[in-house]
Amino acid sequence: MHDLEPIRQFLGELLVRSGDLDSFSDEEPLFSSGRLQSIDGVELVVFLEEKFGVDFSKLGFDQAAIDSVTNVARLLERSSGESLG
Amino acid sequence: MSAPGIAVAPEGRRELRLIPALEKNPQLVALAQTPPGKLLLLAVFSVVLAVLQPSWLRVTPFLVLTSFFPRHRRAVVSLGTGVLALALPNLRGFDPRQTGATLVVFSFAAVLCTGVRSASGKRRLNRPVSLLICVVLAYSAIIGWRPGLFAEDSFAWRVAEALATYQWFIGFALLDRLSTSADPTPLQVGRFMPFWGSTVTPFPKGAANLRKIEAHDGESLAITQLKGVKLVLWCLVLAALYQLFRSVVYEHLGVLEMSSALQRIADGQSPGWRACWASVLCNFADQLFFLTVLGHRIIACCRMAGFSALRNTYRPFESRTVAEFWNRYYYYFKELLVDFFYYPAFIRYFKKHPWLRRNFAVFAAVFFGDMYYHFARTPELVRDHGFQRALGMMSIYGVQCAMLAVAICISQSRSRGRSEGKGPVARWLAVTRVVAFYCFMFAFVDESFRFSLGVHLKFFGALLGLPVT
Repeated sequence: MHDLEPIRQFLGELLVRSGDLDSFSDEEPLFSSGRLQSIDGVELVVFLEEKFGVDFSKLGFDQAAIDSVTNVARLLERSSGESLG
Repeated sequence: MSAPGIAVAPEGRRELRLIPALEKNPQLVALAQTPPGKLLLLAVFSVVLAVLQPSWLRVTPFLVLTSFFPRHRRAVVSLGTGVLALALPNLRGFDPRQTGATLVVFSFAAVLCTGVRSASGKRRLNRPVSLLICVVLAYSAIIGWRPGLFAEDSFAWRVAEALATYQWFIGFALLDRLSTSADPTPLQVGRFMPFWGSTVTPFPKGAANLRKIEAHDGESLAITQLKGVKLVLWCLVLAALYQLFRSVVYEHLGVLEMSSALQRIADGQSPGWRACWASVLCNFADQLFFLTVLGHRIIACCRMAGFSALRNTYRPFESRTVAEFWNRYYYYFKELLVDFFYYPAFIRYFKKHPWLRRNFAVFAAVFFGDMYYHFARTPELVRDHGFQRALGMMSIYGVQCAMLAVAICISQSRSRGRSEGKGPVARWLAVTRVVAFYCFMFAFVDESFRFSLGVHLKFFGALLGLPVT
């Protein structure tokens, strides 16, 4: 199980950068709701690659997989599974 | 508490609203959950839609069904797609050839989706969208083997048309292959060109997006539908302004439409730089009005069906950069290019070179993706001129796409590097810069492909004050 706090913090920073100061829950969709944009998705991809070693070229990319903290957690589980397998 | 018609913007300033925020009124939200309230909403919505869309009766019966049987919403959407795509593909009525071609494309999509979902492990297909693009290009090459090989009423041509119409819907269904909660294939196909309408660019994105934005209870359905009514009313206001704009600008002021200005240059006349600027500025406003009205109408219907979709065009004049304007001007097209071209390039190439990685991905989306989108969207070019010549005719789009790609690369690096001033003057300067850029870029936009690159370059020169002849 990964520590999700850095992800919450990073997503929070992305929201603040785009002028969104409202809080968000772990389940709340951030991209499909329009609170974050594709360019923020790129920042998140780089963050997940650097911090958690996620290799999207192996996993395949789906924006829904990074839409919320919960989805990112699932993605990290899948990523760990892929690298073990 | 906000007064009716006045909303408090995020910065705390009060913002004037022409259409009040209906969805924030608790009494209205409660009313919209009752059968009489639903009927009232549907009646208001339908009356406005009838003004905006002559074919409103193709939409309304399905809106009634999704409003009163929300648990069966997904089935109703599929039913709507089936009825409109197969039984009533156009206003003229049933056309067996068109229905047959659509069935061929739907079957191809179903086989592809099922194949991609069932393949696993090492056999997993990592690039199903690339496969789809290859299939479309191969079919285009057959259609364009030589100009005029297939007649307009031939079955092979109808399949090409259907493939062009549904390509990106199939693409989104393929992207949904990784989702654990994906709909079964028949329901996925039922999301292709949903009954509320769309362009070849899916409004909104495919089935995965629809699952996320679907109203999950009576209250969220009521709020979503009230937002739908609000949007369709706003759309009516904009449509009226659009009519007024066209009448004043083109009929009373005699501004040349872009195609007329280009035609004059093609005929060896010089309209003059003032006329060219008037033409390009009005064309910019025209395109913006057109796309906004079209997008609002479709998204309003989508919201009435119980899906809280984002608007296609949202406050474009708040954009401070070219990239932001593109996002606010034509959101779903931008999302299409991001999902199908930007992210795949970004996650695969130049990972160790951040600058190159970002800019290569921008070019993959905005240059290659945009060009391919327009090429695949106009199969009649291939049919009438042959594959090779049709590719050559895309060179005009190439200039436009290259300009946009370079501008987005620059605007992204600038927006990361420094913060823009916040004063009104800085804001106006930024907006003016953005509008000026899009005007220059629109010098190369002509969807009829009637004019050569030379004519577009002369028009561009005229904007810069250079002699045309």
